[in-house]
Amino acid sequence: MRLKYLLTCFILVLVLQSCIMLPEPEHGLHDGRGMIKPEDTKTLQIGVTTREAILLQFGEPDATLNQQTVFVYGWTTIVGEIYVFIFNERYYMELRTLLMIEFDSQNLLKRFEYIYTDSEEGSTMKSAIKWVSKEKP
Amino acid sequence: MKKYSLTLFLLIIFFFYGCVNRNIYLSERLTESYMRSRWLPPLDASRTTREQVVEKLGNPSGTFENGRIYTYRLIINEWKEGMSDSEYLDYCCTAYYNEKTLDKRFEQIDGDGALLVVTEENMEKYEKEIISSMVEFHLILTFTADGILNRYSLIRVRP
Repeated sequence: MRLKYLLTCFILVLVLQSCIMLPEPEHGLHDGRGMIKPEDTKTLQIGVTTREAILLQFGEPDATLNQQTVFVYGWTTIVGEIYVFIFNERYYMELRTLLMIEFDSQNLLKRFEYIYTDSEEGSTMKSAIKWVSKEKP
Repeated sequence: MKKYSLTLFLLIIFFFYGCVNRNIYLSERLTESYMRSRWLPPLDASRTTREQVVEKLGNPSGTFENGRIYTYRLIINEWKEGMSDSEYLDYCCTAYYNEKTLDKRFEQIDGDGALLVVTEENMEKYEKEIISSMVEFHLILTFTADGILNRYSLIRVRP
């Protein structure tokens, strides 16, 4: 009985090792600039917030589109990390987030939205361009 | 019962061992005030001119609204002679270090470090240094029509 119990524990340990997600605060930011959290955008007001205010708050954008009328801020976070004990390997699950911000001809905020994509550069730019061409509902 | 508790205790230690963090995060030491006092020229809204800023920091990384807004991507380049491949492999993509390594890097910053403004022109040349840099700040400056500093902010964007 005792042996059975120990064996079960041992197998559980081996199996569960690869299921543990390790939280790692800043390391969680895998690529790109520091993340801009939704609470940081709470003060943004359509038709009121200026481009200057956005720059002063978030810094230089990672990319601009349409003669700087669209700002793209992007970062990649690790949403999960699996350590496979047996192979001594780490696998990261990544999420690429873009904060898209568009201004009108008066340099005032027209719209903004978070969009999510995979971490490849091509996909990121495609997603950004698609967002720009998407009309506001 | 005692053995069961002991086994459970050992299992808990086994699982939580990796969660104990003895590393130091760079953001704890590379603060905005450190950047201001150690690396940036004094900036005085309503007095400092655009020319003075350019004289101290060089050309900006980006300009907006016909030059009314300047943005500077700033890193501290620790490697005066450039970074070797082995240093790059050691340092790249690391957000935290143990205290000894961090002290070594701070020593290097004090000895060899220099403020580097990242621009389109030098981005390729300093690619390794930019990726491995311990910190990146953005300095945003807005000027009046007369070229006098109006508002500014310093934002840590990485890590």
